[in-house]
This record gives sequence, structure tokens and C-alpha cells, in this order.
Amino acid sequence: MHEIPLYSAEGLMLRYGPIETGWSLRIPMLELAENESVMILGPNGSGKTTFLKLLDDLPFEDSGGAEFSGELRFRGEVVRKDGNCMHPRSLREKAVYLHQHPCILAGSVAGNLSFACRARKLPRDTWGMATGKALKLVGLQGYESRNGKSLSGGESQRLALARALIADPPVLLLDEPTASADESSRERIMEILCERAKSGRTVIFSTHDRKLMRRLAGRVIEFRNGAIVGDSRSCE
Amino acid sequence: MAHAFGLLFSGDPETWGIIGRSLIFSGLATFFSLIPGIPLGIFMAWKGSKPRRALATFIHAISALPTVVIGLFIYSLISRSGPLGGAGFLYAPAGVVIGQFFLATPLVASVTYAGVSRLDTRFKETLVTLGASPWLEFCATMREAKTTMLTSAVLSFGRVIGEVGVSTMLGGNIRGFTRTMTTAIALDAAKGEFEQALSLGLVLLIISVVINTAANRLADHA
Repeated sequence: MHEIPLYSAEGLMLRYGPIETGWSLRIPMLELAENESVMILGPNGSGKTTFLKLLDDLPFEDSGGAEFSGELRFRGEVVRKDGNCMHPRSLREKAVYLHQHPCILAGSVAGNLSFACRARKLPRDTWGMATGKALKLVGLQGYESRNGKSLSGGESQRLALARALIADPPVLLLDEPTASADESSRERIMEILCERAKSGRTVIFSTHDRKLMRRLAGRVIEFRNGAIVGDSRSCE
Repeated sequence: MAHAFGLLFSGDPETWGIIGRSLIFSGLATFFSLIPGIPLGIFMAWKGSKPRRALATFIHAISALPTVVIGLFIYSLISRSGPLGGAGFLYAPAGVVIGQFFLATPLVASVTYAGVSRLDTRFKETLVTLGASPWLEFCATMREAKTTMLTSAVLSFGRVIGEVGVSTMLGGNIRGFTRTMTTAIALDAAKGEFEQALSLGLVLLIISVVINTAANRLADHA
């Protein structure tokens, strides 16, 4: 029996603005399996971020004048079909997207993590433990009372990763996860992502970081001008 | 001018009564206007759909209406022959507060809308990807844009404390009851009694300077 893929896209076309601007994304057919670590490759403006945001069902209509056609499914459930957005609950609960330059919410580091606990509907009595565990994972112990907005680029990235991982989502979508991180933060982030991939979680990420590519990529999908121009599996 | 200062610093009960009344009426109107104004501004800013943009245009238009037009509209509601005529709001403090509330609410909504619209798109996307409920999104937006909320309150207070149309039409400028700084200044000037008008004008000037300083500081913070 054919296993239901994690994501399946068919005839997917996305455009921002008027016809002259061309398609930002053109994917005739694509399937992403469960527990895969997929690297999205391509030059700037090739559609990597748009693709990752689409996989997380983020509202690109807010950009104004967006046009979408085709179908995107998550575990067999329709996410988008032409103009209709279904916003399936399962996707929101299972997947989380991390920006290249993360947005840290106003308030303390602990406040950011508590917000994620509340959003993910974790039981209140587990918040303290979940927060401590997440901070330890990213190496930010002792930062609880620090203002989240005052952290450095690498620390912000690690805090955002801790926030994303607080409810242990099975699907991680990451846009250049090590781009704004210093060497030590980069190592830590890479370790966490490799660990998650090894433990059977799905990690889909875009990067220009060769070290991360070598260590994490199981499958490499290359984008150019919004279209997939390469899809290969790593020999490793 | 010296007499005007004298009225202020001698603690003249009538002058200070007018000042206190103005602050209370405008403070209450501003406070109540935040309750619908902030959620309305956030609602308009959250999604850029066409109906919401149309609503935002309408609210912007209302916030620029002359105070007498707002006053006239409320007058038609609370005058004896109006639908709320039996409540006794006309020529009473409640009438002034209601009028100023309708004056302040669109301004609060407009300023909130402008501030929340300027928030980074990554902020909204972060809330969505974390799975925040609409209520949680609302709370996070309030927290993120708290400077905007404070600015909207400060600017609205500035607008209502300095208006004269609504207070005159709905309050009636009744001595010791609904007389505010602006209505008192208008009356005193008409009677040629400039001392009290000048002393109240000075207080309004001080309030205006304080409000503008606060608004500028908050804008720098935002």
C-alpha cells in the first residue's frame, strides 16, 4: 500500500502581484516523506522561503495581490486547494516554522517560552519544566529573566529554536537556521537539528552553510526562479 | 495676565473646579474609548482584507470629523425626542463624556491601526506558527504594541480635553456642573472677562505641552 506522504504538492503555482512579475513558485509535483531531512537549496530570491512558509500554511495573502493555484496536502489533508485555504489543525499542531532572523516577542526569555507553552496548550504545571528543558537544550540557562529583545543574533536564534521545540513538534521548517548565529551558536543549533533528524523528526531547511549541508541533508531540493531544478538524495 | 496667574495660584475654587471637571470628563472618555478603540484598531490591522481596509478608511474619516458634527449626531440620540432621550444624558456630565467618547474612539482605533500595521510581518507569522489562538494573538499584539496603545490614549486625551463643540452642545456649559475649560474660555471671552479665560488657557497650554512631550517620547520609544 502506498504510504501517505508528509507533504504532497500538485500543480502548485504562486504569484505575488501582477502577471508581469512572474510566478514565485512553480511545482508541478512534489512529495516529502515523513522523517526526512530535506535541504532546500538555491540562490537568493529563488523561492526557498516562500516554499517553507507555504509548507507551514503561513498567510502570504497579507502581502497583497497573491495568486495561488494547485493543491498542497499535509498527511493527506488538504492545506490549500486553488483559492481555498483549509488551515488544517493537524498541520498547525505538528509543524513549526523558524525565520532566518527570528522575531522575539516583547518580554523576558522565560515569557517567550511561556507564550509558546500556552499557544501549544501544554498543561500549566509543565511549563516550568518545559521551559527549563528547552533553555538547557539551546544553552541559555540563566537567561530566564533577560529581556528577549536584548539578546544577540545567535542567542535570539537559539531562543527561537527553544520556543519552536517546546512542544516537540514532529516537523521543523527552518529558513537559514544558522545564518545569524556565531560559531558557538551555530554548532549548538547544528547538534540539535542533527539530533532531531536522528530521532526520526522531519527537518526541512534552507541553508548556505556547507557544514550543516554535509551533516544534515538527506535529500536536497534545488530551486531556481521558483521552480525545482534538482532533487537528489545524499549518498551518506 | 498677573490676575490670571493669581486665580490659578490662589486656589480659586471655581477655576480649579472647572479644571478638575475637564480632567475627569476627558479622562473618563479616553479610558472608555480605549475599550472598543484598541480591539477595533487591532482587528483592522490584523488582516489586510478589503472589508477591513474599507472599515479603516471609514474610521480614519470619522476621526477627522469636526467636533460639532459628532456633537450633533450624539445630540440627536440623547435629546428629549431622541431614542435615548429618557436617560437624561443631555446637559449632564454623562452627555459630555459620551460625546467625547465618540470623539476619542475613532482616533484610538486609527492610531492603534497605524501602529499595529507597522509591526513586522514576522511577528504575526510567529504567532501563527506557534499555534496561538486569536485571544492569545490579541494579547501578544497588545504587549508588542504597548507604546502605540499609550500614544493613542495620550493623543485622544489631547483631542477631547481641547474640544469645545461636543462639550457645549451636549453639556450646555452649566456652571459648576458641566462647565469645562474650553467652554468656560469661550464664555468668558465672549463676556470680555479675560482673567479666568487666560488662567484656563494657561492650564490648557501646559496640558498640551505635557501631552505632546509624552506623545513624542512614546513615538521615539516605538
